[in-house]
Amino acid sequence: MLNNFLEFLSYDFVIRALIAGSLIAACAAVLGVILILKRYALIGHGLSEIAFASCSAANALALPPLLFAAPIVILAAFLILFVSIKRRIGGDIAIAAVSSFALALGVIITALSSGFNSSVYAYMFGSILALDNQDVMLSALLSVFIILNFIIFFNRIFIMTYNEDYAKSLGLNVNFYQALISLMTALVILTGMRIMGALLISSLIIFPAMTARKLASSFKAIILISALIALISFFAGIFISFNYNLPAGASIVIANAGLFMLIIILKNLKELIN
Amino acid sequence: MSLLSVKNLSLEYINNIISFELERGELIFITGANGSGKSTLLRGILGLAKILSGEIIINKDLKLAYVPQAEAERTEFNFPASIREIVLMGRQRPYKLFYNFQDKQAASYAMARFKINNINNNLSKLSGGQVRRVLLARAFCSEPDLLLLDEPCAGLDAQGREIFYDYLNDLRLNLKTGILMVTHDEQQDLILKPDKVIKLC
Repeated sequence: MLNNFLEFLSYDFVIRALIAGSLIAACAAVLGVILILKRYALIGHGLSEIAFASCSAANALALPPLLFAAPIVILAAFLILFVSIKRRIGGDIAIAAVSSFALALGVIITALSSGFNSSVYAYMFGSILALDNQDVMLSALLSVFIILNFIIFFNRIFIMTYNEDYAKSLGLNVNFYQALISLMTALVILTGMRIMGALLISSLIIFPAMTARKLASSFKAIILISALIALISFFAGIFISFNYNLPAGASIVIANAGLFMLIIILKNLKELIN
Repeated sequence: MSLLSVKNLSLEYINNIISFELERGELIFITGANGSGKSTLLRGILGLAKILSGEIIINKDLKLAYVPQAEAERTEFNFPASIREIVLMGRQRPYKLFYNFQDKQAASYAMARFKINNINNNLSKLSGGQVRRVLLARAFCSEPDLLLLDEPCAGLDAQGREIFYDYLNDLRLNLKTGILMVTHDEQQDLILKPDKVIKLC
């Protein structure tokens, strides 16, 4: 089993998948901590469905999907985060409404044009093994951008996430950091969709942060643990997917969910013993 | 020039038109019944509440610290942050990206002075009074020019109050911090001897 896996690792397309996938998984996990603490866990889901609709439209119009979808998804991220904050509309309601509409729109566009072909299927469920060098470059650039932002603005992002009013009282430009988080979320969704698919990408945002929250009591620790958990689940998922010949995206989600449940069980056992 | 100057200010939820000046080293009490808008006045000065008319003149370069009512941050109590991380927030300035040694020292000093132990604990493990000490330490460690306090003694025990009065007088005398404090407690008049009292109704 392991020998086969090692042989599997010798293919270029596998290496590309592992590099791009692990970078995106780690970035999504770090952003996920902010999003779940601000109660915007569903935003990833909403944006991915908007991205799916845009990609289907691009497909129908024979335009480059990512270039076409990028401005739409970024705009949607700004709108969802700013509108729900300024107007105090429940983020969950706004996201649920917009995302189901977008998904329906994507399905209609697809049905009217080419029908469900392989590229539409790939946007829905991902195609990690079909990544090219350009995808790897894109995810590398994106992770550098996100990690640099997190290092430079760590303290401010922390204060902003903790309490926006308090951040304002310190003279921080809350709108700027809000916009930065929206932009990073949109970019992670766009790049991650190629790997995980529109229907599963939000799990990369939610699961690791949720698991890390059970393990850490400081903000710095939860961010680092979240990234680590994302990496462990990603490689475990790929391993499962290879060994049992299962779809990669779904296997990564299952690994994430499994790890979460394992941590919950271990924590409860520990409390029982104590 | 005064530290803070408020002229003919009118805010939502406040019936009064408010005018006052706060000088360096001065202490002003804001009193009034529940719902008279004491907290709103502080929030207005911070730019967090809508100003209907009048003006607030405040130097942008001043170091400003704010201690909200504990309730304002109650939703944050389950937030995965250590006490140390929360107190260090007070040292944040608009042009500061990272905390230096001085910042960490100032935070440690304030936590020690308020007798806060277990600084790596999560905020959610603390009682109401302990949280109050953390929020006070966060504001005091910033060595502010202007300090806005919203019922700072609520939930504090006798020892906590003693530390608070002592520390506040230190800031007022040594750093010439101007202090605006919302309070219900008549006794504090005798202990802290405010320069002015603004009564809202």
